[in-house]
Order: sequence, then C-alpha cells, then structure tokens
Amino acid sequence: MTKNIISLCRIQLKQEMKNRNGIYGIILYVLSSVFVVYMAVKEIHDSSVWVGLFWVIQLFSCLNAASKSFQYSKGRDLYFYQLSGPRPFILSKMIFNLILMNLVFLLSQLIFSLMMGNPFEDTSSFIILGMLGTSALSSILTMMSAITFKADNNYTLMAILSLPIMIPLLIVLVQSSNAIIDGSNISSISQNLYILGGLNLMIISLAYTLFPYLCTD
Amino acid sequence: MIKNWWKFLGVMLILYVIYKGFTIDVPRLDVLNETIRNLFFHVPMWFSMMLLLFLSVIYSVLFLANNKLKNDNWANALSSGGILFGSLGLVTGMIWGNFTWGTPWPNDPKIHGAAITILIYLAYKVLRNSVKDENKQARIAAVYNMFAFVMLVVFLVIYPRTQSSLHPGAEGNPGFNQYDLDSNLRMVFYPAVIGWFLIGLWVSQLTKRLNQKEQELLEIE
Amino acid sequence: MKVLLSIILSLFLFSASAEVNKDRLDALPAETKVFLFKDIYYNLPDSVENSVFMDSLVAKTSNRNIKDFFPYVIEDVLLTMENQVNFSLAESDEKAFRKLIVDNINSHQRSTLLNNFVKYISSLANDSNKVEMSSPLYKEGKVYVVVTVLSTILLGIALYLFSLQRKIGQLKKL
Repeated sequence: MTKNIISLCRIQLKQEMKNRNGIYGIILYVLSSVFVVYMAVKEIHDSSVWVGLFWVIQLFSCLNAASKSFQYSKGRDLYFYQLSGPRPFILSKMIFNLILMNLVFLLSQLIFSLMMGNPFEDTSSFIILGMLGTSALSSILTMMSAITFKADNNYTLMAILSLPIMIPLLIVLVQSSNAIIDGSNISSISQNLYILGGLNLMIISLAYTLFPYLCTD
Repeated sequence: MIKNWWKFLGVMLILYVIYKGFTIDVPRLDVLNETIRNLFFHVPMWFSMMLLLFLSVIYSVLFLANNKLKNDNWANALSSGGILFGSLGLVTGMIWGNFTWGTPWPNDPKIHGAAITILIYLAYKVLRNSVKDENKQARIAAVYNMFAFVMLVVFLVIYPRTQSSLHPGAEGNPGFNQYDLDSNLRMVFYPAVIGWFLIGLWVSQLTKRLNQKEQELLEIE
Repeated sequence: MKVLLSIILSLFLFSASAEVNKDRLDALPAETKVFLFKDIYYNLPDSVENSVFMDSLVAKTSNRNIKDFFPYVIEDVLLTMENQVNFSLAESDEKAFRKLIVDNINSHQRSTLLNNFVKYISSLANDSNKVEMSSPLYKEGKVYVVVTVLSTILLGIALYLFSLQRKIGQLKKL
C-alpha cells in the first residue's frame, strides 16, 4: 500500500509539473491577496492585527489551493483510482496537498514579512507552529474538497462546508502565534501544538475510514 | 395512540417544568435574580440539540452500513430539529445575556462553539440541496455529518474547558458547579432536559414523515 | 528592577480569590471589564522603592522563595496599589514585563489571571456601579426575562410547525 501511495504522489507531482497553471495560480493568489491587504493597511502597528490578517489570508489561500486538487479527477485520475483503491488515493492527495500548502505557508510568510514587517523575534518557532497548523488545515480542506467534488464541485459550497470547521483551528493558531510574539518559546505552547497534531491525525484517520463510502458509485 | 406515549410524556414533563419552574424556590443570586429560572428553558435547548445531532449521526452511520433510505431520512429530519433547537438556544441565550452580562454577544468560547455548530449544520443542509440524486445525496451527507460531528465534539466539549469563559463550568470543571445546582433545581432541571428533548424528537419525527411523503409523491408523478 | 517586576508579577499570578463575588463581575458590561484589566495591567507602579507598597511587599517576601507568594490573595496587593500614583511603564519595560509573564505561565493560567483580576476589580467597584434600570424587563427581579425566553422558545417551535403545515397544504394540492 505504501508503494501505491508513493507512486500516486509521484504521478500527481508529474501532472502538476506538466501543467503548471495550477501552481502559478496559487502563487498568484497569495501574492495578490497579500498585496491587497498591504494596500488596505499599509503599516501594521499592532502585532495581533498582523497575526489575524496573516492567518485569514492563509486560510483563503489554502481553500483555493485545495479546491483545485480534485479538478482533474475525471478520466485519467479515475483510472488510477480504480487501480489502487480509494484509500491510497485519498492518502496520496492528502500528502500532496500537505506539501503544497506548507510551501504556500512559507511563501506567504515571506511575502507578508517583506511587505508588513516581521513581528517575530523567534521566527523559527512560528514556522514550526505554522507548518503544523497548515498541515491540519490541508487535511480538513482535502477532505472537504473530496466531498464537494462528489457534489457539484462548486467553490462556494466548499467554502461554506470548510469555514465553520476551520474556525476553531484558527482560534488555536492565532492564540499560539500571539503567544510566540509575546515571547514564549516552543515548549510553553506545547499544549496547543499537541492539539494541532492530534487534530491532524484525527482528520486523516476519519478520511481514511470514510472516503471509501464516499466513492462507491 | 399507544405508539406515541413518549409525546404525551414530553408534554407532561414540559407542563411540569413550566409550573415548577416559576414557582419553585431558587437560590438568591446577585445579578441573576429570577433569571436563574432560565436554567430550565435555555440550557435544555443545548442538551436537546446535542442529543438530536448525536442521533442524527447514528442514523447516518446506520445508513452507510445498510443503505436504507429510511435511515437517511431520519438523519436529515433530526438535523433539522437540531438546527431549530440550536438557533432557539442561541436566541434565548442572547436575550438572557443581554440583561445579565450586559451585551448579547460577549467574547465567550461557548457562544463561539454554539455559532459554529449552527453554521456547520446549515452547511450540511446546503450540501444536501446541491445534489439531485437521492442515494448520492444521502451518502455524501452522511459522510459530512460524521466528519462535522466529530469535529464538533472536539471543539465544543473539549476546547472550551481549557479556556476561561463567562459561562459557568469553565476553567476545568464541567457542569454547573458555579451555581451549585442544589437538589431543588435538579428536580426540575433533569425533567426539563428530557421533556424538551422529547419535544424536539416529535418535531423531527413530523419533519421526517413530511419529507418522506414528499418523496413518495414526487416518485409517483 | 526585573526582580521587582517578577515579584509583583508572581503576587498577581496565582491568587486564590475565593471570597470574591462573581456576580459583581456579571454586573459590569463587557467592555468595562476588558478596559479595567488593560488599565491595571499596563499601569503598574514604576518605582516602588520608597512606598508603602514596597514595605508590605518586603514584609511578606522576607525569607521566602518567589514561589511561596503564589497563594496570596490579589486584594492585598491591589488595595495598596490603590494608594499609588499611576505610572506607565516605558516601552522596553512593558515588553520585558510581558515576556516575563509569558515565560512563566501558560495561557490557561494567564486566562485565570485575567478572570481573577477582573473579579477583584469588580468587587472594588461594588455598589456605585449598580444602575437603577427602569425598563419593564428589569422589574420584579427580572422574572420577565424568563417569560420572554420561554415565549421565544414556544414561538420558534410554533413557527417551525407552521412551516411544516404549509408544506402539507402544498402537497395536498398536488
């Protein structure tokens, strides 16, 4: 099964590389939205505003990135899915989205800091927190994308389905980011990190259990 | 008639709660004054909502297990009931909070959790409506229902306990220790929860029968 | 200076405010609570060397570890603070102050701190804040709030059943 997953991931990577439109689209979305925010606020004096705006942009960028993940799932993808079964399929999509969204996170962190200053003295712990948070985010969004793909593939529907579930995640992330700005190190927010990691595992196991039911056509 | 014994029980319990709720001796508290009686009306809304949504998830699981549309109809109707009671709980909470905490929407984790629940289940309704085929609709809705409920339980039951909040029962101790539910109140409170839950179940049953009749009529045409 | 800050801090942090009246907290509107907390939080006395505050602090802290202060009641400190002039901390001190807080306690304890702070301040504020409300819902010990809540619930259920009734009517027409 691991071999299946790895080969499916590799195939997806090749697909994205061949038609780089999707990736360019995501990068452009991040750049444009950060620029819009910059134009709206110019300078951020309060660090909690920085954190809030950053995570909202991150949320919507990941939403966008995830909504594209099942777009090509007609034809050739269906063939691969039938070869390998539903579970490796969803796991490979999740792993791929995880890597993609972590890259999106790093990119947006870079651009945000460039345009609006970096309120963190300890950027590395923010990056660790952010990668954990984005991983949980990507798992939720991949699952929601799978559900909406089966039902009409409407971007609005995906936003409606995933936003309420992402709100508590957002609360945890904003709280931890604010704590990092105030100067605490990684170990003092460890409780929140465990929550994020636990959430991630729970979503992946839920998806692993439920995806086959979604797919029996 | 005998099959509907629980409906009569529900109505009786509610009548008992209304009578006792207004006449019983309540502990004298400073800001709350008499509004502590809302314990019998506002709080059971939440308990009923959680119970109804939990039943809805169980029916979703049953549907995924044996593919009978009847189970899915129950899941749909129970989620309607859950949304109704959840919104009622939210509105009554806003009314109550306005006159005790000073503002209808304070910055409180339990309120956030309540709002998120309602958003999730409204999204569930939209999801249902966006798929035309019945079986497909049922399956997708069942998957989302399970997913949403698990997330709900994590974030509404576990997370608020780690935060401080204006509600009683925060900061680690569940329940109502703050107001120290004495046996007098308990005698009216538990019947209230059961009574409102049964009313919610009745409303859901009516919804389910209506939906089913609608489907059958559309099939006949 | 930093040691003093940490002493003050530890006194605030772990206070067992068992005697505080929670309902005074409830009597304050939400904005007041946040404002009160921020006021106290950022306006701790800057120099406390020659004050009564310092004397009482020293008296309590002699021969003890900082950790021993934890059970102190917040009332003590704040009562003495009432007689002090408000200094505002300089920018750098404020950052160090917050770092000190954050390094030594986790977010859960910090929120407990917030609650305890506000509870005590509200008990200080006591009856001068009680405003005579004259709208009808405040009369008779606010029992009419319960009446409103109950009628809302019944109205909501009735509206829902009414919509079901209309659906039945539409089906019958088919």
